[in-house]
Amino acid sequence: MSVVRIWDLPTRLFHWLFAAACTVAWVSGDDPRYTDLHLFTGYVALGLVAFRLVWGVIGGHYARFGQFVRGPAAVTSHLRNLFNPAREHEAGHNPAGALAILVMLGLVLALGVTGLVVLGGEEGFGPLAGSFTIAQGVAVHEWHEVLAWVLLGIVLLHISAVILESRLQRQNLPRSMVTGYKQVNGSGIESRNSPLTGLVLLLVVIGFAAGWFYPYLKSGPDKPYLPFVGAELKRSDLWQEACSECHMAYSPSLLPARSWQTMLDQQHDHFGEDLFLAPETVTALRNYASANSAEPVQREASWRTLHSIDAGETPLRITDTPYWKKVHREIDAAVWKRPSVNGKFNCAACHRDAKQGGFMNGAMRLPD
Amino acid sequence: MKKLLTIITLGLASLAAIPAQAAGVVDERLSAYKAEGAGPFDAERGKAMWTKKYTHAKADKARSCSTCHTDDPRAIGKHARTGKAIKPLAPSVNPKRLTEVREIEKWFMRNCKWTVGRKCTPQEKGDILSYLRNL
Repeated sequence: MSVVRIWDLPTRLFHWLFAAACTVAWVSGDDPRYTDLHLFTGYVALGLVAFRLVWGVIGGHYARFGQFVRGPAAVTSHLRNLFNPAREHEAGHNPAGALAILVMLGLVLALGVTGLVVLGGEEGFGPLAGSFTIAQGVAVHEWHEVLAWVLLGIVLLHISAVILESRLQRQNLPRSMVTGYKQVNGSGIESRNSPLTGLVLLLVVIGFAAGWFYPYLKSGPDKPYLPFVGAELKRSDLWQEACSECHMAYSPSLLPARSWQTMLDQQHDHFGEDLFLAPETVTALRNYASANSAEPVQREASWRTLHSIDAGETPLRITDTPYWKKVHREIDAAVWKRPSVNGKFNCAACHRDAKQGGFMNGAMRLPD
Repeated sequence: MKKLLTIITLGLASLAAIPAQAAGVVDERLSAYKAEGAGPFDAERGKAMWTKKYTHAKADKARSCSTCHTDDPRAIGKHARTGKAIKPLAPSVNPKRLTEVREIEKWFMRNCKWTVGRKCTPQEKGDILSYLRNL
């Protein structure tokens, strides 16, 4: 028995950075308020996969795929002899662990790629913006979520296996992933540590984080940093003026054209009020609404709103659409009553890009 | 001498109750209402109407001008349904008010129907305008 360095510094850093990035990405994925954090950790995880693929070729002895990737027979044999006291413990990754590593790297790679498709399709951001439609983004979003659950399952399996192996080998395997040192049979092969590569890896991640989050330091309550404000939709001064007399001017992209047309047909009984708009004003509002309603506007919020409405329905309130109800169902009644919110009429209280008509996930914040 | 006259003229103008633009438009409206058979107009009657409570079929509770505009037309109001802030209505504090015929008539139509439950008469409109211009 001897104690030797099995895991080199870059491999150890990779392991813990990868675990942290995947954990934060997993937790921050569901709430639109943390979109920016989710994207940051997603990019870090994707970058780390790329690093690991390279390091698996040029890294330390036990970091190389050639050292630990084995065929299905080796995996089966390993699992069959799992509790056999005579089993020889591997110095590096065992065959089943190696398989888990490949699956996890593959899953995160797939999560990164599908995530970029969702970002490009649904939000119109990122390197794939413009390459995918909203419908494609929405479809791929589902795969992205399924992959995330599969990853969670594999990670839990990996952690259980590490705990089990630690007991069987009577040594703390997680600690060896921190220190690099492991008890091995015989003399064992020592991995070179590659501290310089480790340092560069760490500095790149820190630098990336600094660049990503620096704008938040310069933001204040008056000038919030909004990384995901969508491009402003086509503006109409008349629409802004006419519609903001009694409430905020809702973006026409939030209802189908037939809703706006019906609303303007009924301008003399607009939710109990006679708007008494001049005929030429009504005509101009009709034209603007039809050209910029949910149908032609390729925005996630308009797309999802439109697809939530039955073909036979003509909702006259945005708050009556199934999509609106679905995404606001968890908002506590007390939140609507806050003076800073002042009811469901005030989209801009939480959607900081409401006036531009964006309604991007990342531009949503609940006010105090 | 000419300069002095200009200063005096400007000084007098600034003492006027409402901006000249609103005054001209309100004068025009009052003559139009007179042509419809209304008048003379009384700011006191307009003031009384401002806070008078109306009930009608469509109103779940009594409504008045002050429901949204507050008792003082010089104050910032609040839309009864949507909660949106309403800029002061009195031209003495908000010079943009009462400067366009189309706007005056649109808001009389919209708000009389909501508040009173019918269109306002030329007499009522003249009284209200007389009240607002003198604040």
